[in-house]
Amino acid sequence: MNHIFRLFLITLLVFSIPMSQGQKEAFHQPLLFKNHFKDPKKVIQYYVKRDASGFVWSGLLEVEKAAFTLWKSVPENDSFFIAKQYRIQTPQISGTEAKVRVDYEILAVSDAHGTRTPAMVRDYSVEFVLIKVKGRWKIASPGPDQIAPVVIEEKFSG
Amino acid sequence: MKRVTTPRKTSTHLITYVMALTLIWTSLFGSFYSQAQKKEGPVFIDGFPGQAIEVLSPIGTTLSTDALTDGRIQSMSTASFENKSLEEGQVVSAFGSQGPFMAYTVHPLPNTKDGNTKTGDHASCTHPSAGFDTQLVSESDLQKISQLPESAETKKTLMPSVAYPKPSSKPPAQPASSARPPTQANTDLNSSALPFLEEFQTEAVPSVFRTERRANDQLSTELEKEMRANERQTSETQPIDRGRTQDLIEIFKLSSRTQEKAQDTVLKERSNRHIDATLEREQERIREVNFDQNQVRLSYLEKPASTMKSSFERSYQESQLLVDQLNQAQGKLPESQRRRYLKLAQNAADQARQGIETINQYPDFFNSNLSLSQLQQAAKSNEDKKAIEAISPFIGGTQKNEEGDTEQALSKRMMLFNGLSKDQRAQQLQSLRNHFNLQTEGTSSSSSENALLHNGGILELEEKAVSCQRFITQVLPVHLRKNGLSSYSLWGISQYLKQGFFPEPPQWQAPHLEKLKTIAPQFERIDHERGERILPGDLLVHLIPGFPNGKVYLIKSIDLKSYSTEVIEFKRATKSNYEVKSFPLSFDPVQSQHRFFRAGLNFLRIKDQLKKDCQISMAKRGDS
Repeated sequence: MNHIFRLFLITLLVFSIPMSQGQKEAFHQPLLFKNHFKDPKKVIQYYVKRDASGFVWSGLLEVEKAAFTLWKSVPENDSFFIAKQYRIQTPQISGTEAKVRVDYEILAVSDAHGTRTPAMVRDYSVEFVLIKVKGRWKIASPGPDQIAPVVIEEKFSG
Repeated sequence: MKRVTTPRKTSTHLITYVMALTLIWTSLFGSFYSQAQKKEGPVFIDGFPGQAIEVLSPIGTTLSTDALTDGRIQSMSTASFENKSLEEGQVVSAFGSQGPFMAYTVHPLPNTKDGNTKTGDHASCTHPSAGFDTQLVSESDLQKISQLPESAETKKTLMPSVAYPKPSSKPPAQPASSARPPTQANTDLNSSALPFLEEFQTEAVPSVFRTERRANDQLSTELEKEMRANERQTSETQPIDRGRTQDLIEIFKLSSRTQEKAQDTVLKERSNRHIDATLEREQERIREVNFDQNQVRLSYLEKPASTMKSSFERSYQESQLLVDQLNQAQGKLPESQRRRYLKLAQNAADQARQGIETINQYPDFFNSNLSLSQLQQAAKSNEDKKAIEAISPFIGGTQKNEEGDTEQALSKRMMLFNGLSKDQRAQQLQSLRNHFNLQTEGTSSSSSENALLHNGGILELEEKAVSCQRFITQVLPVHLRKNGLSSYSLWGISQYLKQGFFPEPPQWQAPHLEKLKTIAPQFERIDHERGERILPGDLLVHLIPGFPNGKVYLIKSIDLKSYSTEVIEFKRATKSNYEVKSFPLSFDPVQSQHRFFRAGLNFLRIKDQLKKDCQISMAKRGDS
């Protein structure tokens, strides 16, 4: 009985390692062509999740820019923050304008090669201002030149 | 049953425990500790009497000097010690803690005791861990230097990186005395190019830009002195042809200026040719990428609409397969590219999935055996027009040309390519210009199933050499730079050229570091704070470590009087894919008596960039 239990544990261990690795790599916020969200927080959630899952490596796509932002160009950065975690605060909505703050706990600054530098800031907050256009909330500010990409540590080391 | 622990067992466990702890401690903290030890040490600053010192350091760095003051850097900015000035003949040492210093500049103090504005040359300083140069001065060296005669050049020979000219009572007359001896490449440029900027002639020239006085100017001055002396001696005995001597001086000055201007014109032409060639190469890259984009896309426009769904389904499956392959391809591709292609493949799969959903919304339209082009021409009903509009983001509409140099376009290109049959893909690959094969187990290197498309060259995959202009087109556009040589990579090269090693932090990944070490010697670092000349065509890497906003520009022109440059930034949002913008080198007001450089400036020059056949080797010497 003891042997069977041990065998079970070993089997679980053997299979759990590749599974957990696979899950880490497979974490991917799917790309959306259309903005279906009626809640400004959902828009920010999508943006932050795409950012966190590492779209920095491929970049924000033009189709996403058109669907989720009012920006004229896509952000272009060759390095990014690595955050331990983030928290999206409750939105403040007044008419066709909404403000959503995202608080990040920053660990480092890095680039696609894994060159890791201690960050000059530990707490990093971004206040997104969204404007309702034709019934859809879109990010108006910060602009593409003012925003820094943030990748979650778990994803980065994955 | 209670387990009995014998003393022997306990001691064995204890030893094992201690050993394990030691091992963990050494592995975790050993390197940091040794680095911290390495970074502690004196910072030697040399300068002239009356000069003020500015130190740019990370937060928390403690700075203590014998002569200046004790100070702790409060923010990531400059800490100026303007009230403290060096005394005559004084050598100052400072001790840094908590990491490396980032930059030191000794600025001239604008007002001297006699009330005149002193525009003496800038001075230099160094630090064993992160200073400007790699050489560290020992105490014995310092003693030797102080015993040496006045010649600063002699001292530089002994200690080229840290010149300690013992100043005389007069203000420094030769600005070059503390400037770093130019490298070979620099010598070539300087010798032919010094008169490039007429601003050097004026009194308003910022002292930090002062370079060596021209020999011709000195000669003219000497002639002038001689003339005055002769005038005094001979005024009583014989009349002087003052006009003739003055004319000779003027003619001499004029001819030297003319010669310098001619040399300068050549230099300007070469620099402009380098810039033009780079821009041309960039346009060529974009043309090639656009060609690829339309090559893949147009094949879909000619396909029957009824085959569209099966193509998208195949694309989804192939893209997912590619995701799996890339997940397992660690070490077979540079990590930055693997991650990038993983995201691109995931985006391609997402696009294919949403394409299938769109096709399912218009079943009648996508049942037709007519091609999309034919359907568009024949479309009359609103339903058909809606269907064409809905499928456009996936195929790119029916227009003949579509921009291919975006991540969206590349992702789409990959999605469409993956939707082709094996034979079609093999056929496409013959005409496509930007692709490479992902080598995985069980596949041949020529297999079309493993082809990865790209937007024009991946430096990390280059094995031999690339032309300098092509190299620049790979480091200027952000979307190529972020997976190629990032601003941190180029900053690292600049630091390596300055110090002889890559500073830590940051932590560098070993394979990338090796690549950087191969590339770095082909660059020359321009030390603007020592007055080394910046030329059009040089690269400006603007980066403050610790922030994710590094930029890389190509310098188009420089105006040293106003501390500003015109730079070329490669930007996809612009029509020509690049824009020329002004980049100030200082934020101090133009009227200010002394202006400091803004933080984070690094200037790099490809050593052979003015040569016609300039190339950057991507392989180590001896590699095939």
